[in-house]
Amino acid sequence: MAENKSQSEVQERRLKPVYDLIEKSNYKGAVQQIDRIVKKHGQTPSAMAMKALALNRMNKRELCLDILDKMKDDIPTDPYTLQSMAFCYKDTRKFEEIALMYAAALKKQPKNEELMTRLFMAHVSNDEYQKQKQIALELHKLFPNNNPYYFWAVMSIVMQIHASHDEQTKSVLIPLAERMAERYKDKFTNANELKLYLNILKLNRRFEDILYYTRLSPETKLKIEEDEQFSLELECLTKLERWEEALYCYKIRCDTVKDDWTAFKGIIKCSLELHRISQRAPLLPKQQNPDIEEADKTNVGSFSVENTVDYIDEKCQFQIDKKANYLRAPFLARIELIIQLRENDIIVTRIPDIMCSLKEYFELFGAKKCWFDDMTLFIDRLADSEITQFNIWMEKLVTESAVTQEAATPDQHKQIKHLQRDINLLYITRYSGRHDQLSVEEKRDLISELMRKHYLGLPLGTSLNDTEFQYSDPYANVATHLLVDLYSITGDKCYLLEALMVASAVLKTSGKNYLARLMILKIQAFLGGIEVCTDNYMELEIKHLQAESLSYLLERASHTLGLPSAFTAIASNCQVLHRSNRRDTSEYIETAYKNGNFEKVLEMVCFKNRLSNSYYKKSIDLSSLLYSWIDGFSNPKLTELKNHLPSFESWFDVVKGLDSETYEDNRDLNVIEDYTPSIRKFTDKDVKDTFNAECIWIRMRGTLITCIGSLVEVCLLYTELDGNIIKTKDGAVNEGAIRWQELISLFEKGLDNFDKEIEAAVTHPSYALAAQTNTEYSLAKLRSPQLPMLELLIPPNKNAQVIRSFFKLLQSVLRSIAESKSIEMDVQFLAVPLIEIMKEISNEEFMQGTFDRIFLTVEKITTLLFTISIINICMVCVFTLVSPKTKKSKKAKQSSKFPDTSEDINTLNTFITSTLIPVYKELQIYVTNALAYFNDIDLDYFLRNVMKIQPDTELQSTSLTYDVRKRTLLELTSSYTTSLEKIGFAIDNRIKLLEQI
Amino acid sequence: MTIYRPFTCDDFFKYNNINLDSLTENYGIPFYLSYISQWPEYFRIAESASGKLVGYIMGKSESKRGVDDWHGHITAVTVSPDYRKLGIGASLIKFLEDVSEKKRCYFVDLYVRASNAIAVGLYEKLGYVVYRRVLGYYSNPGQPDEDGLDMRKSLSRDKDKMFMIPVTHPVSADDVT
Repeated sequence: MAENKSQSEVQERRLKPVYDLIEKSNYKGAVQQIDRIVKKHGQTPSAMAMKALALNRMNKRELCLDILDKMKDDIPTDPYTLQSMAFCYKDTRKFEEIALMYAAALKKQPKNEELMTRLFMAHVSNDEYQKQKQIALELHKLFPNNNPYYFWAVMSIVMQIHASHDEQTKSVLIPLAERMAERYKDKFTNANELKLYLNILKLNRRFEDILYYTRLSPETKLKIEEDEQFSLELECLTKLERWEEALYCYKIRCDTVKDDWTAFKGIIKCSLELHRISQRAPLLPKQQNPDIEEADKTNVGSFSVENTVDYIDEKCQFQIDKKANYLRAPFLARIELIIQLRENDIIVTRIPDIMCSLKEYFELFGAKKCWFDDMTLFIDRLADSEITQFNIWMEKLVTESAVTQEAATPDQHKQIKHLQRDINLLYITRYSGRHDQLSVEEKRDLISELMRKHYLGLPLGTSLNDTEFQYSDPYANVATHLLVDLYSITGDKCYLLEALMVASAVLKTSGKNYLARLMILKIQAFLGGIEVCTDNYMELEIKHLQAESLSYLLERASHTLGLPSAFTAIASNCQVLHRSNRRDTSEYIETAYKNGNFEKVLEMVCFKNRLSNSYYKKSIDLSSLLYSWIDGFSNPKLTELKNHLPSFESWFDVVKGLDSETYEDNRDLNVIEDYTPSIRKFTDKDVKDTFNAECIWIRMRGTLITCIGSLVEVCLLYTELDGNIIKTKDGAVNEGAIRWQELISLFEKGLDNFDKEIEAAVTHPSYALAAQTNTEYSLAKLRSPQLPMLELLIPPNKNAQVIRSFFKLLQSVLRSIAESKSIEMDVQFLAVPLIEIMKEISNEEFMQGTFDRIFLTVEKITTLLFTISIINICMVCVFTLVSPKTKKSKKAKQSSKFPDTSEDINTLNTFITSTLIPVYKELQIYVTNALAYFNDIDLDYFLRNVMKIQPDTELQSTSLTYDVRKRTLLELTSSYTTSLEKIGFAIDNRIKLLEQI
Repeated sequence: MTIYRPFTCDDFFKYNNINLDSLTENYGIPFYLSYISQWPEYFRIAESASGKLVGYIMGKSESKRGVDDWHGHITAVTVSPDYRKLGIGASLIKFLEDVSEKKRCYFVDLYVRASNAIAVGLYEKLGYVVYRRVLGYYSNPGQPDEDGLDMRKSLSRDKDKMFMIPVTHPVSADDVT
């Protein structure tokens, strides 16, 4: 052993310079240094592991894995060597290998504590709960004085419970976990172990026992944080419906923490529950509880509703008596109580007046920004007449206070307060639906008025930091939403342009107002201004997890339209997050085990799964694949095609099991508050519907990939085997034929699913909504960023239908080849449908050039290009399959790769000249026309005549100057131009490549 | 009024209205997870009555190797724009100080951009003093580095407030990391 140790020390010393080189990212140097050491001292495992690590960092994955494969057989046990190997496996995403490696090492050294803990952690990383439990128990057996190992085992069972969907399994595991934890209940060494025990009790619904622990055990009181103890206790009391005790606890809480909304809510809930019970049956004498008895003496334990009214009144009065720094919770509680009493038809003698309470709340807190958010708790629960009455009162109050303001000496502090009250009034007016009742003209007047107020409020914020929002920004913010409403009603996109301009004006004075920028992003994405969208996305510094929760805002613009540059800009941000999820999150789950933070273990495992099942991740993976095919087929050398395409394993891995997979919706749909009435807000059903639409879309794209992928594989197999697919020796089926059949059935299955998904999309409620042309449709479009995408990319949109009919054609070609029929297929036979397709996709409205229609031009062209790119791939494949077949017998030996005979090339040329090139050229004309349109557009004319904005209009004097408007419009149109130029360049390139062939 | 509770991993998906603020650093997930897995008791979120996430504090307790300076550290504290001036930041900081008291820390410290006068003012109001200026502590993309202020507040264990005696000369960023 001693000798081993010294050997390892020697190794360590020798490898020190290598560590340093790797640390400095000098991997090449590290490899050279290792080679020198190996030459001198032979191939030691630690040196080889370091070499593998360095090679892996140099992206030489295969070489790295080769070394690891060889090392694996020798079963190294040295911890440093194993750690380096584990790093390599993590980098190459072979997490399972790590567990196998440590398990093998452990067989050689069965009592090695370090190896065992590492194996435990490897199982943790793989979510192998049963295995991790076993190892933890073995660790505990060998090292019984170490509590953590025992609780690692308990926690592993808890994880098994959470992962199991089978009630029977759960009913066995829960008592097991409880028994195991209970065995240690006198030996808990820290709060985490106790908390784990209490959590297990909760799983087993043993609320009484938990109460015993939280209340009686002095040990517990010492160890669990007061807040946690409070919420745990109340959770149990509520579950047990012990309302009296709960009420008592909440009151104690209210008396100490005077602004605790949860406690006030609890008091109301408990007293109403108690009231309900008392109505059912006469009250029994109180249960004898020492705490309650004590409480009775101080009168906090009384529970009649009247008592609660008084109690909350007292709390409010206490605040009023302070004369300053009022706390909101008691006043808010009073409103909540009144409303709940009304909702439950409970008549109380001294019930406070709702209107008085609302007025009081506004008088006390109306100058705070949070007032509106507080009010959202109640507005929907008030009668219309009450809201109107309240609104009128507020209006009067705000107007009067404005008059007083003007008369008195200007006090900036007071002015700001007045402004905020006015803004809150605006919010509540909008939220209660009064804006919706205005006519178009009235709305426009209101917008002008809001912009005037925005402008007039700006001087109040001259001393604000440039990172802060201007006090009067909310006026412009609401104006933006009103303009979006106007678009929804009229369908006139000019209102969206105006909305863009208003939001841009906000950025002029509040450069960091992310709310304005988010609106700009959303509208630009809707209008197809892809390039400006990505710029804005970068400006918002959306990164890390935000890329996951916010990218839906421009998903359509980024990676559904066939613009690879925009896709890469947005997607790469998200890919980093997803790539590191498995590795990083697992690492911190391990840390949580090591620190005994068991409750965080479950949370982080759920988080890891939520990210790895993200629909957005899947969507990015699928789009990346499609782009890699389109890119690969841009390569003119068909013989090298294979090197430019994703391998079968890689694409099949992404699409397999697509129809059975469930996805996580990680969109943060509440990031933009638009103050619309709740009736118009995105409902839970909307959320579900739009998400379902996303899932249909994912599956549709997946089936598209299955079809293309299997077709490409068929084509590659065919060329590889010289077309010798079906011919068999002595009637036996050869390997090629089996593979051929497999691929064809994969293709056919893909096609079937594609049909199914088209059907699902057409019958989907969101699609039905998108197909309507009335107001509801427009409203829905802006409420859901997903719907316009449906409109463009899911059939009846012709693209998918076109691809489908093309696939049908391919299916018959493939079957014919499989059945060894001779194929008399003229290339024109294929060309005709393609030209038809072109006509179908480009409808007559396409290039009519009114400004309104032109918005969609860029998107249509990109979508068109995208469709044609896909058809292009299929055409090339079919040609590969069909064309050389007739020449096979003559040049069986010669034509091992396609196409290498002059005859073949001629045929290919005819095909290309007659079909693909004309299609691209037609598309080129579209692009040129659209470009000319955007280049020639006279913005001044447009602003004056279409948008009816004159340089001398009233708003000229506000922040929304003519220049700001013009600049915003210019940005948007130049974004179209840039996109079109990129597309045009791509088409030119494609034509050049084809002409070279 | 605000509801305070432990930060959970699900909050990552809903904290945009806090983290989109330009002065709030939006860290990579591993960074947050390292805090959640090691110091969950120091990571707390504030929620409005209607359920919106409005602010959070993230911190830890540590001591420099070989130095007896066991202390709490505020890594991030932030409140979204509409919920400022309601005492939420102060409550979050008070919470972190209480946790640090229980852990027998000598003091609590934090770093703040020298230009962020509002934050510096708030910390001073809460009893923090500028312990030292750290040259070029913050890097700004495309702009010169910015100095950071290392601010401290002694807890009850540091009776004589020895840890709050300011260092007279600024130090370089390398000296503190």
